[in-house]
Amino acid sequence: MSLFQLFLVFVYVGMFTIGGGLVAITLMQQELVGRGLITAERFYNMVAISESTPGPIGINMATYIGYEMYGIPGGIIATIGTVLPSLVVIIVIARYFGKFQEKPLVKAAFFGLRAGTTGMIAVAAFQVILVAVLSLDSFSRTGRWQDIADWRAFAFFCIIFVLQVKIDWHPVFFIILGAVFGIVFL
Amino acid sequence: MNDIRLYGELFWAFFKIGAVTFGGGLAMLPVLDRDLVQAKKWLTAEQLVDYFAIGQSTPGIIAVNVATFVGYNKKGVPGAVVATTGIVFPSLVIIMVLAAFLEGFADIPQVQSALRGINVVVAALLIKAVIGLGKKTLAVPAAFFMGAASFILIAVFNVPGVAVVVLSALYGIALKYRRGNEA
Repeated sequence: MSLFQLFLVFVYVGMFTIGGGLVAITLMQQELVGRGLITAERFYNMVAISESTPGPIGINMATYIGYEMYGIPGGIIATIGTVLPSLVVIIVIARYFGKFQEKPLVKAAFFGLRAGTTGMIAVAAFQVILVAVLSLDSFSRTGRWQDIADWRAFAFFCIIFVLQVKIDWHPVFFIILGAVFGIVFL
Repeated sequence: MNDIRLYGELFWAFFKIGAVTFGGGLAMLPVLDRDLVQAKKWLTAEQLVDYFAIGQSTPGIIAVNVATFVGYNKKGVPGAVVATTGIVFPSLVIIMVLAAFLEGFADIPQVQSALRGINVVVAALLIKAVIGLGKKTLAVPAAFFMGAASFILIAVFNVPGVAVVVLSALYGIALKYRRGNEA
């Protein structure tokens, strides 16, 4: 696969990723693991690293795969490829959105849309909470109620929740606090 | 000169967001809300939700879409490119450095522990951010109903996000049409 073909693969991934990073992972898997360009094991190792480092996971994966195949130019080209379709689409939407948004019908649609999207964001937030404080697999293994949550994580969750309501720190400070707590206690 | 400062500010704002958030679009929400809505006032909470809705139903990664949108509104096409570059830049650097020097990064036990701690914090921060958004977008009963319906459709019935986007837009239109007829 040439550098240009690699670029096209990531343009394709960027174009058909509708609804978030996990869709991008699936498409990359189909295109790269499916075609035998990367082994499945290598791919999951990359997913693990992309999940463990800052930044959107889809972008991390694109950079990683590109770098692995073509060094630094590959990393940059794959990332540009992933971002390009959305950059074009969003610029076009943003260009007309302002005027468009004044129309009564669009206003009405966005009234519903904002509410629906807030519900959607709430589901995703709920899932993050479940993963962070519950340990459902250890509960289903042992069947003991005391195993349903990771209690240290749960206690920390309650403390941070109260703290962030009381103290107006920037989220970054809480994130650093979380990393330190994780290393020491979890 | 002012232009250069604004480009710099755009790049730096999104660079920071890309550098401190783990996971993806939603994990970025508390920082987006704090930095862009509350501190810089580059967009309103309603706009942030609009961008998420548009990001949900257009190609690309939602966090990147938000960057492109805000960048374009501030400074046209160059602004969009600068903001988008800013948000992906930390990924580029960090991933390449790790790939070159520290292959086993994800297997380091401390890294996994730190991430678990970070996830707990993000969960707590998200509750506050979502409640903050909800106060604006679900303020009236008709909106609250749609928000709750959307929550149930996705959480219980696993309906795809795009379908909920379409449905809630139609709901908004239907609501207006009905009110129009009564008046």
